[in-house]
Order: sequence, then C-alpha cells, then structure tokens
Amino acid sequence: MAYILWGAMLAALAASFAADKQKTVKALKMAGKRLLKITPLFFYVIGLTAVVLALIPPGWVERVLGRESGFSGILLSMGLGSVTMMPGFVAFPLAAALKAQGVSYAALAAFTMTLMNVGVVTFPLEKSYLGVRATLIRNGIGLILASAVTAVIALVFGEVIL
Amino acid sequence: MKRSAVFFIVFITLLGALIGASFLWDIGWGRQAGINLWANLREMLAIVPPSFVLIALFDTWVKREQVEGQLGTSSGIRGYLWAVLLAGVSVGGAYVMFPLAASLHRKGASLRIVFAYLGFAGVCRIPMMLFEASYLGPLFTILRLVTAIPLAGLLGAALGAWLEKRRYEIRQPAA
Repeated sequence: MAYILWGAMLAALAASFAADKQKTVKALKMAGKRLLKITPLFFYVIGLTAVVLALIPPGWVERVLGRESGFSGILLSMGLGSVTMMPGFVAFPLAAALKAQGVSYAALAAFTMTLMNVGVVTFPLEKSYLGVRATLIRNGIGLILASAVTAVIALVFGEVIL
Repeated sequence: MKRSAVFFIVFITLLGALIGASFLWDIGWGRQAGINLWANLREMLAIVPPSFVLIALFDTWVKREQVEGQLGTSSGIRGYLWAVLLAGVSVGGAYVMFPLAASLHRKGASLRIVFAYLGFAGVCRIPMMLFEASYLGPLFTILRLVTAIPLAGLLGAALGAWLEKRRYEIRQPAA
C-alpha cells in the first residue's frame, strides 16, 4: 500500500514539475512546513500508543473481555476501544482471537468501532485541526455510531446484551 | 524557546530514556514500548510524507471551483458519494484524514460533506474492511456498513450544518 502511495506521489510530482517548476517547489515547501509543524503531535500520538500498548500485559484484553459478558462487557469493550489505538492488522486478528474465546460479536463490534471512531490518544492531534468543541462532538458521534452498530450486530446475531 | 517546544523535547527525552533503560536492564514492557514505537514510526514514515506532498499538490493545482462543484454546498448527494469514495481509499487514519479535511474545506468543500467524510473515514476504509471481513466474516462487515454509513453521513452533515452557522473554520496548523 505504501508503494502505491509513494508511486502516486512520484508520478504527481513529475507531472507537476513538467507543468510548472515554481509551483511544484512551492507545493513541496508547503508540504514540508505543514509536516514540520505537526510532527511533534504525531510523535506524542505514536509515543503514547507505543507505551499504552506495551503496558497492556499479553492476554489481558482476552481475559477481561472474555470474563465480562452482557452489558458490562459492551461498556468495557467501548472503553478499551476508545483509549487504545492499534492498526487494523493488529486489531482484527485480536478480535478473531477474542471471538474464539467466546467474546460476543456485539462486544467485538463495540471494541473495533470505538477503536476506529473514538480517539483519546489522538485528541491533541485532532484538536489542532478541528478545535476542542468539534473534536468532542465528533468523538461523541463516534460513540453513537459504535452503539448503533453494536445493537444491530447483537440483534442479527441473536445475542443478548441487556 | 516556546513552551510547546520545551514540552516536546522533555517528552522525547523521557521516552528515549525509558526505552534505553529498558533495553539496558531488560525491562519487558519498556522493551515492548520500544518495539512498538519503532513499528509506529515506520508506518508513519511510509504513509505520511507522500500523503502530505499529495495534499500540497492538490492545494496547488486543483481550482476552488472544481472542489466547490463536486463537494460544495450545492453538490447534493453526489458530494456524499465522493466523500464515501475518498474515505474508502484514505490511508493512514488520523495522520492523513484531518490534514486532508482541512485542505478540502479551504478549497470550498462544505462543512457538511467534510464532517461526513471524517465519519466515513472511520467506517469504510477499504484495507480495514478487508481485514475485518476476513477475520470476523463478511456478514459482520456488511451489517456494520449498512448501519454506520448512513448514520455517519447524517450525523456528520448535521454537525457540519451546525458549525456552518457559527463561522467555524478547520485550521491547517502551519498555514
């Protein structure tokens, strides 16, 4: 995937350079300045994510989510999904492992949806673009989306969550 | 020196010291933090620089009228379809979707569509859905999409409409 992205960038840069050299240089400077400005926040996010994920002992998520079922399990899944941040290639194998241990589809929906749509660790980054108020509301919407998906999944898969 | 710069240097130093000490004295979770950090850093370096260059090229070359026509206030349902497509091919999560949202808005995309896009970006990124469907089954993915896409569009548009009335702007931190 990264290769496609770098390839697209090189192709676009080449086309841009052929069309207008000065404009291209300006665009590169713009990209560099923006990147430099936001890099500290990126470092907070990846630094905090690295530490938070490392502090979770191996098997802990499985133990906690496997033990709690029903409504408290859903709430716990949402909490965990909101505060942690992990890439998809870590999250979904983990979800499959949780499933094998008897965690409900509804709890997995709550976990993966909050993982992707609610971000406590990314709050400072999001805030610098959207401002505090819009960031809070947007994350609130993420919680609503996660709740709705959890309810639908529970209904269709015939799981009792209340 | 600015306070934020001091804070950043302290943060990096502490993190570095923690990880360094963990490798010296073999502290398990500290070593793991180092390994995670390296993985995160590599992912960021693979995705973020080309994305930022592409966004800057977009800012330089694409005319405001073009974005306004497709994603502006009068674009209707087509604008939301564009937003779903754009979210589908978005990579890099938070590192890319907020800078892109800021650029789209500056080029004339309506706040309704920008916030719908931000909602979609958490719901229907293609690489994410492929992982999900293969690990949790296609029915899980389909149900999730059918529920979350309309809701994300609706609530995102509502938030955007509410913000439009408040002379709200999405900032690009460097500009």
